[in-house]
Amino acid sequence: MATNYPTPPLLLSCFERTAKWMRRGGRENDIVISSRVRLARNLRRYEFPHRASAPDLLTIRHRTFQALHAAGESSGLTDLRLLPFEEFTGWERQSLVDRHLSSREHITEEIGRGVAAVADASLSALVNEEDHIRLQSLLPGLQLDTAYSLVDKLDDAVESFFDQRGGYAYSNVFGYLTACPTNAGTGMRASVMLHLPALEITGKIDKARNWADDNKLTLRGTFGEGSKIWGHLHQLSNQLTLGTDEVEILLDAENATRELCTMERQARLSLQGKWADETRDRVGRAYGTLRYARRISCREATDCLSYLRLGHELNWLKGLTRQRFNELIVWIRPAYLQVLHGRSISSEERDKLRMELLRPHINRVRLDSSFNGTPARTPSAAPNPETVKQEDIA
Amino acid sequence: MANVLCDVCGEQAATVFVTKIVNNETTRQRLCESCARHRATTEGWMQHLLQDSGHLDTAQTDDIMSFLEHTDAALEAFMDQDGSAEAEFELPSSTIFNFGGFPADEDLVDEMEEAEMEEDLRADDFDAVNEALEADQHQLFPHDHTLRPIPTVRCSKCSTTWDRLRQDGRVGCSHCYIVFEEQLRDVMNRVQRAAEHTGKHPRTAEKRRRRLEHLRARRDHRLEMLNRRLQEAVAAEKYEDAAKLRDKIKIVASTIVSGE
Repeated sequence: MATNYPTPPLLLSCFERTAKWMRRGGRENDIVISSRVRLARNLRRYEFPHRASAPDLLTIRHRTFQALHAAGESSGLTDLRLLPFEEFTGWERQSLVDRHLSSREHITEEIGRGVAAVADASLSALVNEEDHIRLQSLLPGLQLDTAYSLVDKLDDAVESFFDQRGGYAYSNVFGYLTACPTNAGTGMRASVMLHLPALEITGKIDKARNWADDNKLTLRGTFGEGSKIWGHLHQLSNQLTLGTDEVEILLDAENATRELCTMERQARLSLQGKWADETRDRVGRAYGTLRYARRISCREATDCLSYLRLGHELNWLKGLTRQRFNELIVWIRPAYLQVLHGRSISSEERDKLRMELLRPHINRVRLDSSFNGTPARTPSAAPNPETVKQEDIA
Repeated sequence: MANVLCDVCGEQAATVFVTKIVNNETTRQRLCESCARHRATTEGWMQHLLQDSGHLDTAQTDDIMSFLEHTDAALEAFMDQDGSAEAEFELPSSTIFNFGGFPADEDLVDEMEEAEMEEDLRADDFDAVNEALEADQHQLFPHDHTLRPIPTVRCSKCSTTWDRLRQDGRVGCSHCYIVFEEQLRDVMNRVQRAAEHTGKHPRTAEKRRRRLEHLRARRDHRLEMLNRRLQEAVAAEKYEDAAKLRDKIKIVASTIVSGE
């Protein structure tokens, strides 16, 4: 497979293919994919990125990278990768969005923008996105508290670097000042990625969304504000940032997450009862598509994988671990495929390559006997799913 | 019929009653004809009066002479009308004038006040109207030279206006938070839990500030002690010690604690 590129793609060599958040870890793993805590920080001396001049933006990035470098050494984060956007192509930057390391608005601009992250992407900094510096921590499962303590430490280190250079934009009234006043205060956004297929199938997702709204939290699309929902993945995050402190935000978000998990689990129970036929139909179709299709779009593949994950959680099939699901939904993204192959690829070819990437993993999936009439598997090419290792792919 | 005197000259009978509502604050003026005429031309509200009474073709505004003539004509027209004349118009700076050009008469004054109360009640609606007017000011008064653009508050650092900020949903720089503090507080009270920050604060800055305070306190304390010893030395006529102490005080006092 992906071996025909002349030079190793720059971005791929920067990061581990399996990011920290894709791995095992955290709590409520059956539903919570990952936890993220983000702190928005700005520098007093400069105008906010959307108004700052190009030289200012470049200075800010330079200084921030310096600060992160200094912080990295003191906090043991020596494998920090600094990625100024000018050095990357559009699809390379897009792949950062796929990995949840950047945002769509961020990558559309080049000058002075950038990302710095450790190799497993558990800790990263977005430079000159909406705010000068956004520090974020991304961990698997539900572990907002750990994520916060990591990013909090980094924040202290960065702050002490900027202290003698104008300092953070901070006011005693509004707290940390941000470009968008709705983020001011703690500047903190705590969010969790939730896999909620059962709520979607049973049509209770709007109820869940309203419930979140009532609790001053938002259920957003997979890639943050204004994005669509891919593979039943929803992002739950806090709305309030001012008049409340970090611990409270974390606790609220965590309690709400547990509540949504309970809702989803109840819905999953009904999937095995009242909705069994419907669900089996969807899971079976998803398997069939992934097993026998020759070309597949990213959208369809993501949804199918999501159904397979649901089947796995309902104990209807074996062979697709949670980690593998997390990896695959990122690896099949169009931009990521291009990064993987080190070149720009047309969409038809991508659809083919996507299937090639997926097939070995789908071959290991076995449906249980209750899926009567479904082709079970190819007997030869099915090693024990537990021994599947990462080097098997690509 | 009680004769009300002009508020300005205090000599002639007041015939023009002006009610100004600026930002929901009502001020009333009773003026005689000549004072009213003077005011009208100097303060620039006459034009609205003229427009409202149909005595001014806006195209003629450029001609000062005809403007003055029309001013007179309009005022006379108001005088002729029998107390029932009322003209209202809005100024973009959320100002509302209310004219009653009628003879001062107890009953009529009461009537006028009733009308004013109505005005007050309607003032709330005017907020919305005024907002629209602010946006379309130049379209609504295309030839109006007396209407200077209202000085809008801008951030002194990045020159962002409140309108721009609201449109964008983003502020321009950290200084904007100081310039638009009041408005932002309102917004925060609506969308956030409170308008006061209670979370984390920059720790290094805090530490530095405390350290500075500590250093200053220590220096002041030392100075105080040295001064006391100097006084004691002088009192005990130990002039040699006193000289030494004086030198020490000089050194300590000249120590600069960074940030001063």
